[in-house]
Amino acid sequence: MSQTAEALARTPRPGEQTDILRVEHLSHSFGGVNAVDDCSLQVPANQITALIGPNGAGKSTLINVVSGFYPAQKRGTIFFNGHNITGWPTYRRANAGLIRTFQISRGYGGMTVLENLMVPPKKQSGESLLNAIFRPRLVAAEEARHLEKALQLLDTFGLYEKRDEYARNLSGGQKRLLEMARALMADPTLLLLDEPMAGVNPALADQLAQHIVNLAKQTGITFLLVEHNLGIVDQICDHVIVMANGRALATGTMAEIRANQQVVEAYLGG
Amino acid sequence: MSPVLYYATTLLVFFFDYNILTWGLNIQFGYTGILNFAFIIFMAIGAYVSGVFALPQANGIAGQTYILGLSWPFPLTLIMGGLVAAFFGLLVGLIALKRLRSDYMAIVTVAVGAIAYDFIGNVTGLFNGWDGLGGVPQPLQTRFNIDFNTYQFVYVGIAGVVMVILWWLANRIYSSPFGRTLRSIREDQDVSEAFGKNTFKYRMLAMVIGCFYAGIAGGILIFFTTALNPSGWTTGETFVVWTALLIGGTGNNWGAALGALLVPVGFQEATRFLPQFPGNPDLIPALRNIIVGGLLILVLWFRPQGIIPEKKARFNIFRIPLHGAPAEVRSRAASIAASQKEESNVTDG
Repeated sequence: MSQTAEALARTPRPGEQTDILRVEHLSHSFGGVNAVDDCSLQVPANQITALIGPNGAGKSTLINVVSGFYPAQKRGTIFFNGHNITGWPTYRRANAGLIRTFQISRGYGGMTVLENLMVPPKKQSGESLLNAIFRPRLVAAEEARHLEKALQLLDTFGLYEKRDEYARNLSGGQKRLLEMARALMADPTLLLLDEPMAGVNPALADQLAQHIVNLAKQTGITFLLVEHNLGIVDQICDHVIVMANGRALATGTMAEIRANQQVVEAYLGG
Repeated sequence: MSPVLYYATTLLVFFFDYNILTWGLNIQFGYTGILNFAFIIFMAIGAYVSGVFALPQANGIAGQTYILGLSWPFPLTLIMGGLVAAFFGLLVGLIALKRLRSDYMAIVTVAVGAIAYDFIGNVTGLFNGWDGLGGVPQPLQTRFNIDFNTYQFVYVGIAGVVMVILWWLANRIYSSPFGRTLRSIREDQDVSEAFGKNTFKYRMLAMVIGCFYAGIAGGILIFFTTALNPSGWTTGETFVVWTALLIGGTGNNWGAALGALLVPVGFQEATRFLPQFPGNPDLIPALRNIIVGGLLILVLWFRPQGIIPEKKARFNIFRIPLHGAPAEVRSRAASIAASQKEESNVTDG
């Protein structure tokens, strides 16, 4: 893509909602199975978007391709925040602000809860070997800033008391909370949550949902969540994308989606 | 010098040397989770390279053939050994770390170790082949013309200083954000990648630093023994270092040091001088391996984290400004700070 075209892609046309993520004609296959098949979709900025669909629709594959976990197969293009990120390695996408969580919580088990939160901040000067050895003051000042943010997040997510516990010793629900708190330490522009409510009791699910709504309001983070709990989707999401057979079947508000005959047949059931 | 003192100082040098070696492996495995089963190769490279930088040009003395022979002065020879070992760590890392993880990476390192062993043994022009290097000049020995007995103590000092520097460095790395990122990669490489860490770069750095440690340990060894041949760094030696680390405690440099004291120094070196059983010259080494192996099994079974396990990261959360923190957090911080003050008053009084 040329420079001008990329600049154009970044500038919203008047009266148009900006899309932070645009996936165009993306395909991804495993052997002969096309998990994602010529899929095109847009995720509007500063909103909460849900990605729903039956099992095997390609939702998780899409998340993995978008975040760079599955290497691009040279079919389709992914734009994030105006950049063509299709060939970028995972870490570069993350540094551009595209952060994800995992379907199964993956805490750093052998590290404490607080330490888990200290890993994600981007561009830490103490991550350079030379700074780590020769500039302890610079590193300490930065650590204090990250520490303060981490403690506040732990407080928000009700994990403050658990800060010195090994992450592997947390309960399933607490691991979910940790996963989200940790992702927020990375200052995401777009946060991809892969089934954040899976295996979480209804009360905690409501709590997580409330966190997402508050964060979207306060920080302007764009959320894209894969979710099967349609009650919660209805409650918190501005925008819904339905996937089936590897492509986006329909987009709109939950009410619009419920009225869509195709979607009802493919997913919601008659 | 009494034989006991001579023996004790010798063991001390071996202990210092194995500390460096075990910390190097700890940086690779304990911090970062890299399985390097060719670790001893990097020690050998460091030893040989230090040796050929210190030795004079090979002119057929005692029939030795080797490269370089530059007669460089001491600290430079040691540093070159470390750097060249680190460079080979980089090369092996490029092969083993780019696409491979855990088991497959380990297989590659085993293969690399076997190749290097046979290569160095058979290419006689490199480091004098299977006979190895001998007569390596000892650091500062010729310049100050120190007598043999005093030199034992001088060398304990040299090895000690190098060890203390590398101890400081290893711990500095561990507690820094750099070390934290290494440990996060050990815990879950994918997650770290998803947080924007170039995990390949970090694993390479850990590989290179660990191999630098191994190279320095090699240099310290060859300058002490003045000779080294391939029988001194067989594949088995790699597992001696591994056993030391696993028994002592991975991820903890105190643990690694305890492991170095128990396994290579305690079992390997201190039993070296036990009387041999007539007709069974291999009995003592075999018994030694049985004991070390048994100890390893016991530790892995009953205390897999090692004798001195990795410490929890402690953050001094009460020393940071919490102006943005919720009232509850601030009041808790204040009350704890007050109680700490009381305690210190009591001890002062």
